[in-house]
Amino acid sequence: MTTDQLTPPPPTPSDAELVARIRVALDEVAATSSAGSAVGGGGRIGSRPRMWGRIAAAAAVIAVGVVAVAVLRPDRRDPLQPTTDSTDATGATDPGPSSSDGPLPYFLAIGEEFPPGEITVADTCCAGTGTMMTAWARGGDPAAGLLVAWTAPLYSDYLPDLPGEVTTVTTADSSISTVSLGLSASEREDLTAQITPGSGLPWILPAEGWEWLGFSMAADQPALEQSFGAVTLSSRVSLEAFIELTTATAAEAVTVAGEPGWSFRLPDGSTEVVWRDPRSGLWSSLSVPADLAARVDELTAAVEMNTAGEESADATTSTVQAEPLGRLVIDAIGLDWVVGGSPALDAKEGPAWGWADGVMFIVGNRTTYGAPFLRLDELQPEDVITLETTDGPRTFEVTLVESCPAQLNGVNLDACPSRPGDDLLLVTFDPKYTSVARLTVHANEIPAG
Amino acid sequence: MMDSASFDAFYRAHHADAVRWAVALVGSREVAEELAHDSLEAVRPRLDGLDQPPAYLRRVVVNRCHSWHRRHAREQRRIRRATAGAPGAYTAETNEMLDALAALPYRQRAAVTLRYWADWTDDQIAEALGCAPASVRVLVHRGIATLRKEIAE
Repeated sequence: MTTDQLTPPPPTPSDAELVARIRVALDEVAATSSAGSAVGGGGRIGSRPRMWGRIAAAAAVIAVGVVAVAVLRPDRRDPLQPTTDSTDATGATDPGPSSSDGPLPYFLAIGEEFPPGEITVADTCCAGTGTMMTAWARGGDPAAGLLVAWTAPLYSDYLPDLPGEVTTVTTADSSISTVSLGLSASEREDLTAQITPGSGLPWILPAEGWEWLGFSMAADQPALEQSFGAVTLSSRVSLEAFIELTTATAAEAVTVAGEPGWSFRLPDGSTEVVWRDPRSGLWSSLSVPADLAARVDELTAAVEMNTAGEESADATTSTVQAEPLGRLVIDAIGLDWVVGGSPALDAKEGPAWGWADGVMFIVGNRTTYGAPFLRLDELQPEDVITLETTDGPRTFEVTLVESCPAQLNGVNLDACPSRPGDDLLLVTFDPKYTSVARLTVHANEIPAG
Repeated sequence: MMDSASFDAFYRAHHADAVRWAVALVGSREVAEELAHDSLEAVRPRLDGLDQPPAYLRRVVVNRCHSWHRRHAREQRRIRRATAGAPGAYTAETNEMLDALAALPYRQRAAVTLRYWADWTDDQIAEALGCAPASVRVLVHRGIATLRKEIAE
């Protein structure tokens, strides 16, 4: 038992206390009198200077009327999930959304002015919104013409409030809406009428010269965002972000980390640069605020592919042992796994083990490949860890459970530093479903006898 | 389109509510006023055809605040930091809570603040977010859990 015990965490606020604090805070915000408000008894405000220059025009909905389109097959699967032989009209395949356990695929290498910030999980949605989306580009070039289509079940009477002009086509049990960039209203209506749901995966747009871009984001899959000063890199381009691109005042093709990309200047002066990651097929984006607009080219040139995770995995696999270690048993969390089936850090066959700086480690997946280390966060100091090896059982006692932001993303042994007296480290990803930090359990061995 | 007099009546009847909802969603009175005004104007062309204008207005406010949140929440946090302690600024506890709320994914933030401060029902939240009422309970649960962690640190 170490002398520097884990100090008890401060008492966490109960739900009722938290709610009370939320109310106090928002009451204070609501009570603040807003300078320049002319609302008083409820008269309408005339023209006011825009705080954040948004286009003032109200969305004009072009109702196309009911157009007969192929009825959706009742057993239609989510078009965002690829079938094994899914191809679109142009022959490109969509690899489909990947798990959120992946690292942020890009980073910004431009120096101290734009330091890498926290990685956050952006906007996880509740399941089952029923929204599916895809997009096409004229000749494969979104700057030459971009059409974004989505569908939503007809249980809702209301059209979503959107910027730009929306064309909506109603089918038997849902509606398809589109917005576009670089198309006339009649061209958009014409193309929308050709979208044929239920005809294949993804929706087919049979029009000549329109390439399917494969944008897709299942509603319950999170994106990762990382700030670099005032600039943000994202690991996915969401439906809302894509619809917003169709409001761009200017768009041009650019190169990002050696890949073809596009830069969209938005009405509020900010810039959104998007490109497709050749490794995953998913789209990434760089968001540049309006006040940095003059430096978009410089920032775009500073985007680099993040291979740190891959490199470090190569560097540390040499410390991963190929032979099995034994059976890891932790009664406190109902864990019972054979360790050492995986010859690599990705621990796909179960937890992997090895030596790092003289300390034995066991690294396991948190939520994937059987989720062996799912409940590692529940361990407390003094919990017992047993390792049943061919040389007999070995017993360890937990001394500390902590989480540290990882410098490197992805599969690597980027654990919290080992402490003096550590005999064993258990390492997994944190928080669940991401790889932005490393949950590390420190343990001392209790000698037998 | 609805005539001026009727829209004025609608505006007067719902403006204060719209501001309150936007305060819940963006954490700034000034921004909330702007977004509430935008939302009411956006609703105007459709008012005549709607069964339940207030429900539609809810959805519009939630969507507009979402767009704002994506672009400006971080900047708002910098502003809070920079103005902390200045006369007229919020208390430290309020700033801490606003920061914690801003750190939540938008839908979690929306569910928590609309339920616990704006007094929306779960059905109203579900309709505005475009999800099932059961999902609202999940969002609230996750939101509270994350807030608890943010505040405890």
